[in-house]
Amino acid sequence: MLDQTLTEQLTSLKNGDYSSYELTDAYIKNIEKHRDLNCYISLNEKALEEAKRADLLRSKKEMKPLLGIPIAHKDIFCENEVKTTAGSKMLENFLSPYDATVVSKLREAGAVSIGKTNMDEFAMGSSNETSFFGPVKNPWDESRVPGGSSGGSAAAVSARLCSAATGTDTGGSIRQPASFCGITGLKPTYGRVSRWGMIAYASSLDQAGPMAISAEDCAIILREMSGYDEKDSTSSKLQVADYTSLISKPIDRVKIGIFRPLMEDLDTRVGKLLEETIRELEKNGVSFVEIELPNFGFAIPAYYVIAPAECSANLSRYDGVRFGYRCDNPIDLKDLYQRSRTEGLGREVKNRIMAGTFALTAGYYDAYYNKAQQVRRLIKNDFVEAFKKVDAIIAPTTPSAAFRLGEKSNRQKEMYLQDIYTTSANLAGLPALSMPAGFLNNLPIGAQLIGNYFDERLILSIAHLYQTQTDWHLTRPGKKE
Amino acid sequence: MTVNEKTVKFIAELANFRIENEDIPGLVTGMETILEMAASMNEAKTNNVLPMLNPLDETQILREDKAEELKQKDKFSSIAPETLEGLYLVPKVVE
Amino acid sequence: MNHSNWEAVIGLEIHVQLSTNSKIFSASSTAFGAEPNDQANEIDLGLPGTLPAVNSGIFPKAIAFGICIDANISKTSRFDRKNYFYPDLPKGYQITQMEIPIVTNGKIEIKPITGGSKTIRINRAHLEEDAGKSIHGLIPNMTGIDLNRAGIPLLEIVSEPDMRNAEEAEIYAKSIHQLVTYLSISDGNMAEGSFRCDANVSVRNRGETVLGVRTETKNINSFKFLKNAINYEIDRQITILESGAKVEQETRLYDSVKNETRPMRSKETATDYRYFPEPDLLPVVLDEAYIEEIRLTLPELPTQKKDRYSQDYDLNEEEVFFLSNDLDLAEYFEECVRLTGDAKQSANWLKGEMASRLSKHEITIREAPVSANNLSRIIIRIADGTISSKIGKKIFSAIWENNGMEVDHLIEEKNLSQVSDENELQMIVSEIIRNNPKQVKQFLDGKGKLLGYFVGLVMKETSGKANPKQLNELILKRLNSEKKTSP
Repeated sequence: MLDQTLTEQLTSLKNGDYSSYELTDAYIKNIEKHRDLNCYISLNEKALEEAKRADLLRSKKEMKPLLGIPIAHKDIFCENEVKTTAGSKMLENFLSPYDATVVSKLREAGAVSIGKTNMDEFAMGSSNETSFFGPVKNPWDESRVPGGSSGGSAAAVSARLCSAATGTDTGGSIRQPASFCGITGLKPTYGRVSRWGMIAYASSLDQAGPMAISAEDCAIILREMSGYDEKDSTSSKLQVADYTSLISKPIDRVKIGIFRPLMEDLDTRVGKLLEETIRELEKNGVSFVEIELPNFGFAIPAYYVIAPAECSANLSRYDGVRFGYRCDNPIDLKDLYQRSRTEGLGREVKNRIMAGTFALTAGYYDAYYNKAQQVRRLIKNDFVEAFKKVDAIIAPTTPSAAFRLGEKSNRQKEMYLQDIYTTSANLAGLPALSMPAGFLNNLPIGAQLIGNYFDERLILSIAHLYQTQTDWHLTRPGKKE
Repeated sequence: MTVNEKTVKFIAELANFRIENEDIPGLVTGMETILEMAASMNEAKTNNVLPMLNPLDETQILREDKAEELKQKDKFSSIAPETLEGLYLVPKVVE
Repeated sequence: MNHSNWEAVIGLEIHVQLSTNSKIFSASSTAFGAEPNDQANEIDLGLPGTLPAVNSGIFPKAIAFGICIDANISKTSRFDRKNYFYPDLPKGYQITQMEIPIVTNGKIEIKPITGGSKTIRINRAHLEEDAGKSIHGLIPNMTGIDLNRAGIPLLEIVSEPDMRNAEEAEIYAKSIHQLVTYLSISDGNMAEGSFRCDANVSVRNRGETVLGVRTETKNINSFKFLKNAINYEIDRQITILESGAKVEQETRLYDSVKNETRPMRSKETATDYRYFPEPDLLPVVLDEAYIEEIRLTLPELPTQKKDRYSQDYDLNEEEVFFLSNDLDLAEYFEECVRLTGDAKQSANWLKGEMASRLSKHEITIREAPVSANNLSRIIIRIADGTISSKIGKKIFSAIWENNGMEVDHLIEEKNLSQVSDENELQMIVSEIIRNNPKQVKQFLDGKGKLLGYFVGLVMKETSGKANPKQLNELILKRLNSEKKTSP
């Protein structure tokens, strides 16, 4: 049953092939077996109870869209009375007193919460190495990183330690680990999913999304987690589409844009895989045209101003007063603030807070923050122009397959360039997904599809079409090649 | 952009971090890496371009002015480092 | 120190708490007086993952104020973050309006005691959240933080530096206070922190056009303290300047016990507020119709009320000013007029009996134990002759002390109604005249003022209940008849 996709599991549960209890128990046993992957920060002790309750509901014919499906939450989502750490020492013992909207919505949809997955501290990182709880290992090669920041979620889905997982994506944090772990991950349009209860990194970039084996699986979860939330002023009132029933509808005359310069800079092996993906889609009636994205190259610099700036304010609340880590025996208020924050936050987080604080200071605001927000509009305008000609855009997700643990941890800039293909979707607020598109030296690598605003349906449909023709997404670590 | 020791100390004070002298070179590099990357956006032509504050091109929805009873104080207190009679305690604040 | 060579320049920042049911960004109650942190939810505490949700109730209030000061109302306004660390500021930033405040470029006319009038320009009025409260001395070396106030909606009204002395500043602050209470956008309760002033004060040589170095004295919560703090600051700065030294630009606190200002130590650390647009909120867009609706439903303003009182009632200028100055008093007065139909008597009572008791007990009309209903009954019973005005005052006093008795019930129970029964009065008068032959003779010999002596005796006999007019007539009649019968 662990080989099945979430969609198949729903059918099996419906047919009574096995119970939610059995499914959940199988995952728990598998998690035990793969403890060394370090995918989870904490497990839900009541998961089996929840599964039993789901089975009971099913026996009473009280159906729900995700009834009995074990889902893991990135440990950035607050769950009532459950430890929520954001991968930080600062929140090592933080028991959230409330639920994130994503958590309560998926629970409403019948999902079983199996545990909280490991992540880069406060979602700042691309390798999961900044986690206070130690790095996650890539199930395809344990000497390699799973990507980040949603590395625990990606690795857990890949190693079949849950049916699916939630993640968050600020500059690529769903798509890059999805690429490295050989799974499908979607960052929805900014505003599609409520950010209430999702611990903030950069408010105008953060967006939660599903991570699963297939696009079809992502569609089901996305439908359940999306929607307007009065608690999040930046969530959209636009009605949620029924991605699940729309995904298998035939897509006519779809035109996908290619931004050539992007392909030229690329590692030739990655480029070759992407070309193959394009050919595969062409075979299925999709056409490709070239587009211009003149300001694409400014995405990384703009991102590394906006994200640190917003995070510098978002993380001021970690002061040792009302919750979270407090240093021992502070001698005065300043000591309390300084030591609690210095001891409670990791190096990368502090680097970004420092840079962001600087970018917002009076003398530098215009040159950095304001400039970056202007650049952001240029990037958005480029996309708006492009989408007048095409329905979606294809791009690599990552410059390479998963790198080795420690390989880039002291090469800050190289680490930041991991996000080179992903940040522009965050800056513009567009939906984007990564789907498995092949292997390089036995390591999976993804292809990225960027959609128009609130058109998650189309990129999911394209990915689904691709996945009906390929089985990259079904290949499991340890079972391939 | 070159970041000097003085800048690092000033920014650390704003951000409320304690830094020791041996931390400074690392922080200088850390900040410089980010700010150098940022500098490359200077080539972007942004004259008369309106800054984009939020990707969601909508306006604020306003909440009804209704108070809700919570009674969650004990729950909140239980996760606090130090409280007394419902108050959060900090070392003496000098005004 | 010679003040005549110096000129003070004063600007005020007034923080007005807007009267809403819930906080500006959360659904927590704003009611005053709750136990510490009872009214602080996950948003107010700045817990991880929480987000602000804007209260619709703040906009009509800010806009009403803006309309009344002839200001520009921003149809699109925005919130920004102001970053600084303080234990009473849970998120480490305050959500405020820096770049595009809701109200800009207004003005208000004030009437200085020296006569005439003066226009004070108001640079802006912006919406923001209040911080919490620090409680000292609970245990040694610790401060307790109560976040019930955190997130209370404030309208910060920033004047231009248009005031030249403490009196003007005081009158300006009182005018703003009167306006916000008239508009009912704030209860204006200074003791509860609903109306607080920061005073920016600088001093320069008379005739100089460049501003001197200013200090900001924060959180002044009474008009008297405001005046004192400004006067202290002016004197202090003049002394410094006359000694040849320089005034330090700094934030200061006013100590009302010592009547002095001193530098705020917590402001000594590095600051740079790093304002930037609040990414958790979108622009607030309000259309012309929304603003027009507010304009059309504005309540009567102080000047309009004054005009109406002078026109409709037979009141002198002083009475009109007294009655209209405070909205609560004006409402009390109007209720009395409605019930009694007698504006003059209502005004007399409020200006006399009521005002002296309010000032004696240092309470406001809202807290007065005698309701408008009760005072009206007293006025009515005097008018219809049931009681004398003297008894009226006794009843007023009794109700004041026993808090909330019913006037007619009191008159009956204590047998306070006037003795108007002519037979009964005649008997008493006859007896008194019989018992005072000497005084009767003197009266008849022309000592007319002895009439009062007889009236007094009857009043004593009737415990003051005799109808004075009737009594006067009776006694005169009786004495005149004595004249006829005397040899």
